[in-house]
Parts: sequence; C-alpha cells; structure tokens
Amino acid sequence: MSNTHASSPQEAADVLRHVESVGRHTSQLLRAFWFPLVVFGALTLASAPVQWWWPGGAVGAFWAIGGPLGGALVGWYYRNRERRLGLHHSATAYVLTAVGMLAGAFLLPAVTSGDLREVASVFAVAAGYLVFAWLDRSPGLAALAVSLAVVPVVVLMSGVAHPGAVTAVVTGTAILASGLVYRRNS
Amino acid sequence: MSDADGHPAQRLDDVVHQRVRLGILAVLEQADADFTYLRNALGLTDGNLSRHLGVLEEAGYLVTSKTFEGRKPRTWVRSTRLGQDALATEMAALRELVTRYESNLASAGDGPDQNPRVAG
Repeated sequence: MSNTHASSPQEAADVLRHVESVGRHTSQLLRAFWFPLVVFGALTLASAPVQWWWPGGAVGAFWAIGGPLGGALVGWYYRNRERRLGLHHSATAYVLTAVGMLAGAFLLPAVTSGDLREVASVFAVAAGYLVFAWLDRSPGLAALAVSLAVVPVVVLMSGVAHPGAVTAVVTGTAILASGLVYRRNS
Repeated sequence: MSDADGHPAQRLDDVVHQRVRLGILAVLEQADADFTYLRNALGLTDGNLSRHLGVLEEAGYLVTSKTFEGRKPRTWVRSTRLGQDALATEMAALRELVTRYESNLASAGDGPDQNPRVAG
C-alpha cells in the first residue's frame, strides 16, 4: 500500500476508491443482522402455538419474557463479535428501536379489537424493522419490513381462523428464512 | 462550486491528505476500532500505524484509549467530530478534483494522459 499523497486526479480517484472500500468493508463487517433475524424468527414461530391454543393474553406474556431474552441474546452476540473483530459501534439507536418496537407490539393490541387485535403487533414489528433497515442502510431489510406489514392484511382479508397464529407462522418463517439467507451470504 | 470558492486542491488538509490517514478516518467513521483491526484493515506495520495515529491525534482528529482484557492491553481508537469533518471535507475535495478533471477531459476531448499535478 502506498503512503503517498494524492498528487494527480488519477491518484485522487485511486485514493477515493481505496478509502470508500475500507469504510465499506468495515460497515459490512458490522452488519451481522442474520443473527437477530434467526433469533426473532424462531421466537415468532414459537409464538404461533401459543396464539393458536391461547389467543389473547398468553402471547403477551410470551413476548414479555421472550422479547427481552431475545434482545439480551442478540446484544451478547454483537458485543462478543465486536470484541473479536476489534470494532465497537454504538448500539443506542438499535436498543431504542427495539424498545419502541416492543412497546408498540404491546400497545397496538390494547387499542384494537376483534381479529385485528390478534395481528396488530406485527405492524409495530414491521415499523421497527424499517427503522433497523434505515440504520443499516439495507434495502433487503426494508423489503422484509414491508412484506411483514402486508402479511396480517392478507391474512385478515382471507378470513382464516386463528389469524394471529397464521400470521405468526408466515412472518416467523419469513424472518427466519431471511436470517438464514443473510447468514449464507455473509 | 464557483471559481470564487477556489480550486478544490486548496481545500486539501495536509494532515489528512494522505491515503493511510484517510483510510484510518474512513474506518473510524463507521465504528471505533482497535489497533489490530486498523493495522490489518490498512495493511500497515505497528510502527507505521502508530506514527499516523500520533499525527492524527495531535491534530485532534482522533483519540486513543487503552483497556485491559485480563492482563492484555488493547488500544482503542475513536474519531472526533473534528476528524469526521476533516474526512468529509477531504473526500468532497477529492471528488471535486476528479469531477473537474473528467469534465475538463470531456470538454477538451484530450486523452487521459495529461496527469496534471494538483497537490502533494
């Protein structure tokens, strides 16, 4: 690697490419969102039987325990990974988003009724994923967020029984599959 | 950018107008990094990286801190607001240099072998 100054337009272009590449590489190393996707995809799938057999308050209790536990697991994973890589990135925006997402997931069912109440929390989750996508500048994650918001609408329009459980199966599978795809490609 | 703003080469900062130092600031723009990460990411020796970090720290563009994991010391590097601004200014100036050169080439219809010196 040259230590020289950029002394011509060609060298300036070369330095620009180098600097952008170094920054991009670091940014890509920091984006390991396959792990939270796998964790929360699995948790969402695990919530489906709860929603099927005990629709109503039980799923709230499931997420009141599972949400913070999943978040702690993801936090532990990122901290270990960053320590191993030698990088440290502020997690404040991510933690605030996760807290807002969890609060919204509890609040929306409380202010809705009927079948909508069973699926309302997914809209808060989709909004949270959209913020994560913006934080990570990830079009793929944004596409996942939009598709998550579409699922409950389609499920409600189709009039299937147990819309909450069906939505959990579809969204959980989508989140888990996205995490596994990101894992394979990372 | 008008001519009144001057040639972009005049806005180049001697402290950061250097491939390695810009690379350091580009990494630190994304995250705080430890010495080993910077050394490996930029392909430097310990001594070379230390010298560049010293210059940037003296200019107020970054701060270093030492932590211990067990008995093993670890040096962390973090860019300051001044460093982030310096990187942004330098990158903008370099981009403008390249753009000017390319538009000059396009208007003159010359080959790309003029290689005018602009800085350094």
